[in-house]
Amino acid sequence: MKKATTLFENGDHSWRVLARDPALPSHLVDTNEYLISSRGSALLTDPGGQEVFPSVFSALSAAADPRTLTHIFASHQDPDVISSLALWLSFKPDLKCYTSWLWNTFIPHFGGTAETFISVPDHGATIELGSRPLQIVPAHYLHSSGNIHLYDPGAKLYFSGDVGAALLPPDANELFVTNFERHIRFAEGFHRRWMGSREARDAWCARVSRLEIDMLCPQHGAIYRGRDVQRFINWFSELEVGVLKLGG
Amino acid sequence: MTPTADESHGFGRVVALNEACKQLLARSFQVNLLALDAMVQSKRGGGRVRGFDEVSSQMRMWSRDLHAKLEQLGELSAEVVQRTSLLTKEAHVLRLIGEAVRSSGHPGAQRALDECRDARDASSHALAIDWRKIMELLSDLDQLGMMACVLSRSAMIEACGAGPELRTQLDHVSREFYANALSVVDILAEALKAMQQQGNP
Ligand SMILES: [Fe+2]
Ligand SMILES: [Fe+2]
Repeated sequence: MKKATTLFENGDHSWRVLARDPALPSHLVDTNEYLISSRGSALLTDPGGQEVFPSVFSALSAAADPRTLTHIFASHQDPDVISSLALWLSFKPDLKCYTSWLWNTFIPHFGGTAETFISVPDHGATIELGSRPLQIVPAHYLHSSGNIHLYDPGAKLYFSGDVGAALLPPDANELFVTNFERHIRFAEGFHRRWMGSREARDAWCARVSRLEIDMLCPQHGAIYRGRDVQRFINWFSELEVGVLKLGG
Repeated sequence: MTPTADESHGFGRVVALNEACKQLLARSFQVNLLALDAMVQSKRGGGRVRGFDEVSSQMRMWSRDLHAKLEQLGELSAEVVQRTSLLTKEAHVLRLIGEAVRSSGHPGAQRALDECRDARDASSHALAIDWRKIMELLSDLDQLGMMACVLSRSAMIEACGAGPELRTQLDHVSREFYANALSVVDILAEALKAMQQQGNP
């Protein structure tokens, strides 16, 4: 089962990460789910694939009352992000799911009805969770053509979906980045291949550099804290992306 | 995959159980601390409160027993989530193949439907066994709650034997024991009610 770790807590406002299931089969990519709670409402970011649903559900139940879950946030349409949707709806049929308008008719193949989805326009949106405003930040083409992130200005935490993701080997499977140089090696191949557009990358780097971010929280790998947040943005802004060199 | 009422109730039951376990865990920690403190205090009271010391150490063992049972419940609860997820997926496939059988009437589709139904029934049976184990554990916990009520009453009686300088403190501790024991019984009754509201497993 995954373990819940608190990243931020101030009164009834909190962020918890559900991560690192020792029993995860090696053929499944490991994921981080973030539970944001405020005043009796809760939102779960990229709730994961259907195979990891039991582990995420049990970890969430240990950390909070899952009946407070009101929203799901799907950064994009990938199966590791949202193929568990139908199971979450089995538990709570009135859950609402934020996703880019682009995936409105695609993600329902994983489950849900027309009432389940809240379409996010290309320029993003500001939403309310409990008593907290959260900003949905556009991150299109990073890597999906309809891709959104979530920024919490009260907590100064930023959920970055696949941006910042690293595919960590079992012996370097830490929850937080402790050695940036060592860590970023595990992120490099992923970003070169998955992130398809230089223009989109440049726009994103400029956009998030203006935000006050204490932690950058990706869907895979370790969380960047403090100075490592800007280090990551700088590193990403200089990386060659969107080029596939096929060997002879 | 459109959920049926039965599937959402399966998760609802396990949530009611988990929430009760969290409250019971808090009681177990509280009694453990109280008992430790009581044992230290009764050492100061000498022979006159040896009985209180004995009851306190029994309360401490009780809190450990409660903790151990809750760990077992936690493992079973995770298993139930896994089985309920599987059952939900199987029920969905069964519905879809049922639609295919209705629209095509093909014997191959009917055979697939029968196989899926067997798989679903097997999962359903395994889940029922887990729930039976959970109900047995809840009944054990209820017994533990009753036992703690009796022990705390003994603590109240033993507290009367203490000297005037300790009597008020020990009386207070024994009442705290009693309040926690009653809470355990109440939490269990509430949990059973909440679980029944979600339908029988
Ligand atoms: Fe992805
Ligand atoms: Fe991903």
